[in-house]
Amino acid sequence: MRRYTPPTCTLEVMAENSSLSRWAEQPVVKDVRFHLKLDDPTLAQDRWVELHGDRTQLEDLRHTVNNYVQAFLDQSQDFTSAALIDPGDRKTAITATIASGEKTLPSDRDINPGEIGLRPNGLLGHDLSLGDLATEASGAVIRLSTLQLFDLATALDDYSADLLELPTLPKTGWFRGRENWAQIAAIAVAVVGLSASALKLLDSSMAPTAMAPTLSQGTSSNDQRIATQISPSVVDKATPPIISAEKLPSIPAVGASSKIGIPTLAAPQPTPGELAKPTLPSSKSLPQSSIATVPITGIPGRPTIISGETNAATESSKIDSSAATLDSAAVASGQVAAAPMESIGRSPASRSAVRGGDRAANATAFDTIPQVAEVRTYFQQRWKPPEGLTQTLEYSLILAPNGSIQSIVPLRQLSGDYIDRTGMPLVGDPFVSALSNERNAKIRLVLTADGKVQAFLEPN
Amino acid sequence: MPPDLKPLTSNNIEAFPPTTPPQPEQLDNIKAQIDLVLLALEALTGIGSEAMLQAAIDLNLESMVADRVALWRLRQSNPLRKGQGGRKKLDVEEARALVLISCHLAKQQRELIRRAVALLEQVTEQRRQPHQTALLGDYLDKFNNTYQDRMEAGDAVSPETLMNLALKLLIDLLFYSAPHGFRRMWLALLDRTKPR
Repeated sequence: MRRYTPPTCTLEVMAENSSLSRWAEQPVVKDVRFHLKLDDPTLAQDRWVELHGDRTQLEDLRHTVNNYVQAFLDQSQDFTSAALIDPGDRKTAITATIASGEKTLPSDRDINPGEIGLRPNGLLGHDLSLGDLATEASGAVIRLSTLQLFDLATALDDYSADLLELPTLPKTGWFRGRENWAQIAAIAVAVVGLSASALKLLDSSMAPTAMAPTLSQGTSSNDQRIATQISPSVVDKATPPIISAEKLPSIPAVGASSKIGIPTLAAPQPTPGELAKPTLPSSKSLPQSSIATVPITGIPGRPTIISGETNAATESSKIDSSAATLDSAAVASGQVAAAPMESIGRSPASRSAVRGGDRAANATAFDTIPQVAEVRTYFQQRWKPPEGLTQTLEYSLILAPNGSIQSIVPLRQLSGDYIDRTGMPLVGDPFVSALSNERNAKIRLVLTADGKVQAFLEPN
Repeated sequence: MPPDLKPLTSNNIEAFPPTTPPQPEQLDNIKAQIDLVLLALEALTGIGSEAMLQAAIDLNLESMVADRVALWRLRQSNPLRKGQGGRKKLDVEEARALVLISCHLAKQQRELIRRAVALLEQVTEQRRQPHQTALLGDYLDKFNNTYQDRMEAGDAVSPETLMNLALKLLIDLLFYSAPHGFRRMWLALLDRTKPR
């Protein structure tokens, strides 16, 4: 759990330890939840507000607050704009511009009921519409003072920094971690295959037909195909446990007691091949698992965040554990597929550069690199906002010394969802010119819904 | 959406090069805005050029702001200022250095800034005038006087407009005093300096 405690609010972000943690070198978490208490000590306790929500809601809140604060700060330029535009009649111009400037912040009609939103209420007040975070006690809208807004923005910024700094840290054991994931994937796939095969065999053994061996054969070969996609080296390890027909007789005894589980589990499940397929991403669909990928590289003890949807299995007993295994397999295979892509183009030199990344902290102020402009130009030529996109997409790109992309981290779920429409190059493909200093460079890419492209160099 | 990836506790300027080179009229606006933010800081906290130069040293920006004259020339680039002659142009790097210094100073003075904003909220709730409190009264007077003193046609701006400007800048300073203040100020300057 992380707790952020500026003076007028308390933000707690909690997550459950995933069972995957035992395979990783650091905690892996899932089901991220938050608890926000607006507990301004100058207010009576009965005016304190408590909100709860999941990670998506927390991200929505963060973006709403962030955008609103930025728009609020932007307003201050109304004065200078007016004064500069019309020095002849400064007074009129300033008054008019300030009046129109007030309209640049959202008003009532800009906020849909049911959505989280913020709008000004006088110079010092800010009405926060809670959308689906609203509770009976809180009401639909709460009024924040400027200090409360500031503290909330600070807490959310700190949370965001904690969450997002994970991918930036140099790691030892990076590759070892990935090998673990490969093993997890292989084992998970083997388990899936094994249980699916076993169940089908079981099914057929209870109503014996000549089809039994065929079914088994078909499933096993599917398993093998998936395993091959992951890594040839682990296939060997994964193959032996896969069922051979001779072992069949021992199974019915187990199955007889869990008859109910069989049809439920078998019926809605496609073959493991079909199941795993959507989660084996091309580099263009890194998205949701990317946050999960990130953590493996994090410093020990720092929680790792897997998207909250990972485990929806709530059924009991055998079904539950099988479903959980399937989920694990899905996540794990995503991880494994991502791993080799990210490591392409990562020379030994660049690895050491990553480890030494902290050195950049004391770099002099203005050594902007030309690659930032190249990235911007690249996306300016390609970025066409898809219809229906209303929010900004953000990615953190790490460039390898040769100028190819070494990793792509979408900064929100939405950014992950849209990654295939951004024109993002594949990991390892030629992208921009080689870096002059043989170090990695981290670039923040911001693609807005109105077609703008921004790129910044970020501190390594 | 403004980015935030790393906790920019050091407000590393390297992290935020301009997205696109600002147009001349954008730069004019940036210069004016930065000078006003520094003016608000001066009026509230009483700091002067000494503290700004020290901030430049703390941030390894001596090459950009070496001495009082250099600082004066940078600030004098504000097109709203009196005295047209010899005005120095402000390039993007210098603008960023000044933004960095502004936020560094705001951070150092965050207790005072917070107290002033809290007081402003209090008097507003009580429907009293900000001038009725010592801290805000002094701030507003000093801001007003310095503005009239330094800016061309300062008297063309009504006292009410100037007070609103001063109070808005005070609230802005609060946000600039946060760990991510530099990013906020820099993006505010870049975002809104587009020709309207």
